[in-house]
Amino acid sequence: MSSPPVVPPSSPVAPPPHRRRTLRFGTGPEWSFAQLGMTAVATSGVVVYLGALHRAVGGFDGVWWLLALVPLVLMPWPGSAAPLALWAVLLTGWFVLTPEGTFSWWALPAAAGAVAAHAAHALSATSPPAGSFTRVTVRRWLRHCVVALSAACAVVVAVASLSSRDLTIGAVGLVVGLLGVAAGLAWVRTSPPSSAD
Amino acid sequence: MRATASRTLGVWETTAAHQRAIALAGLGAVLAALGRRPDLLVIAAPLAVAAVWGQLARPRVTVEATARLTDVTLREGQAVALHVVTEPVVPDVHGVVTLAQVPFVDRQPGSGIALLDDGAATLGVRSTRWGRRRVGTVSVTLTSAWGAFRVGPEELPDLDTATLPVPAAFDASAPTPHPRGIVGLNRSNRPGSGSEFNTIRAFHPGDRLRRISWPVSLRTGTLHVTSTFSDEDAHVMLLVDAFSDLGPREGIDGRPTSLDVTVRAAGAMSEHFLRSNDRLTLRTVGAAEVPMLGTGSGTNHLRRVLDTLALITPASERRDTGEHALRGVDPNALCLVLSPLIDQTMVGLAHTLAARGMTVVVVDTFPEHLVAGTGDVYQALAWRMRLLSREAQVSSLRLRGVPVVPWRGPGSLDQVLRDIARRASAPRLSRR
Repeated sequence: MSSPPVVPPSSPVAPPPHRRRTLRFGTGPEWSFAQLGMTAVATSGVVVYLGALHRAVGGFDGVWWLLALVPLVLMPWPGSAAPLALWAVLLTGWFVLTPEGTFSWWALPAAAGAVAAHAAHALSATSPPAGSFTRVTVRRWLRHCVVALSAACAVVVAVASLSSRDLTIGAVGLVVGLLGVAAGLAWVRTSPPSSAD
Repeated sequence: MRATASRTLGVWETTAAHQRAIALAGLGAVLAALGRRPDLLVIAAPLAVAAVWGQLARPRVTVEATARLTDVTLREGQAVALHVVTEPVVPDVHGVVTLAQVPFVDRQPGSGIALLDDGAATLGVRSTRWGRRRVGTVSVTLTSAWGAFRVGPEELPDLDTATLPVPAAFDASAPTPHPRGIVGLNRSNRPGSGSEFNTIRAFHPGDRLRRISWPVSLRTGTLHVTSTFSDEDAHVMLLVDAFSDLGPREGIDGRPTSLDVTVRAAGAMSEHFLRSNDRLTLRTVGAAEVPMLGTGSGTNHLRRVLDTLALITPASERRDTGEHALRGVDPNALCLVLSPLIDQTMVGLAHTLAARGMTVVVVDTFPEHLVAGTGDVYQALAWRMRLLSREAQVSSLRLRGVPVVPWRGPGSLDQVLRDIARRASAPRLSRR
């Protein structure tokens, strides 16, 4: 009397085409190489920004370079308010270190660093530490960054053409500009979602 | 069991990234205007674009996510696909599906994270141990362009699976004792229509013509026929010890616990006896919420047996004396007690069954690796003392005439079943 064959364990799900590569720091969570890459991009953005600022003002205190390490520290919290604080400090640094009424072409690489770091933080926050991103997603975000950077190019051309003129803003212009900023903020705050249908 | 779960993902909310873009663009613009720093306007311009773009691309639809398992009843080690779909499909949205880690469920990919492609993602789920359990919680997150708006992570209702034990390999060449039915494959002691040769006797009216033995008939001059023993089915009762689950639980890919051995052995024996058209009863002791499975036969009953085995939760009813399990047992049934013989209750039940005059065989499912690889001196000493006590219990069973055989897979019961059949056919002292 023979026993019927035992049902072998089957696997209807195809194995993943690529081996997953992750890294673990101590007892912390697993980090995918894609997420580590995003952190590297964010760090590079800060470095580029600081480098541009350094060239624009002709040198500054070396303590500022420590800010380049902050994205590494912020790696577990890309979706928090900490990157905002970092970049607020960096913008304030540009404001403090550059003389009033001057213009430098180094603002363009600084803008590139800022938008790259912003996009890296934003993309990193969309996925868990062990998550990755498809090439389609990365290409889409790259396109977005290029488009956003083209706005900086347009602005830098406009500013360069106007730099020889008197850029002092009158009281009316200041009020109009601030009202524009306020209107923009009000728009993003009160834009309600339309009904599903 | 739940094979499909759906949930509306809720309201799209702004993210820190969007707020950062708005705040930095506003801060840069204000500082540039107030401090006459046109550089800051250049730096703030791409961030302003990101803020406006993210705001304009804000999704305004309510998305519903659905998770579906392709099969809810698995075998140990079997994998199924978990499909996650979001509807409607929102363009330019980055979607992430995560599957939480739970014991005895392997995820594929190992991180449990899958990206939504056109609103659909597929993960692999592999159950590595028998039993009913939930696969990990599925959560879905969608993020719009520039990471400006997000919905989720929203957890979907949990999905359930029933993992049936993979029966161990088992075979028995010895017949089951006490066949009483009409449809089995076991040779009975009664002559009748069957395949096992009995004798050659003179032809009687009613005998089939194809049974005529022509050589003997020609030699003797009178018609003779070949008679056979009838084939009948037997009744087997499996008594499963759920009191003990000794050893680390490593699933199908690791070393078995005592309950793993017990359950897989019960599955293997059930498969063997039910495919031999025997009737089978399954009783469990020490597990709560396991229904009493009645007597049955056939492949449908095998499925019911495996389902019942998958319901066992070890030691969930410590006060169980096993009395209910022995109620209504056929006195001619072959009682197979599957136990690691650690809990005294099972030894007592085996004694009780033997005292009732039933045919009892104890199948020892104690895994040897528990004591073989003990590196700790004190643990080894504790095991040694416990095994000495266990040996005394086994000896008491053998003294009563209850055979105790270790589970070895195929052929585990051959010798003992042959001994029982021989004992049944031997002359016995009877009262007159």
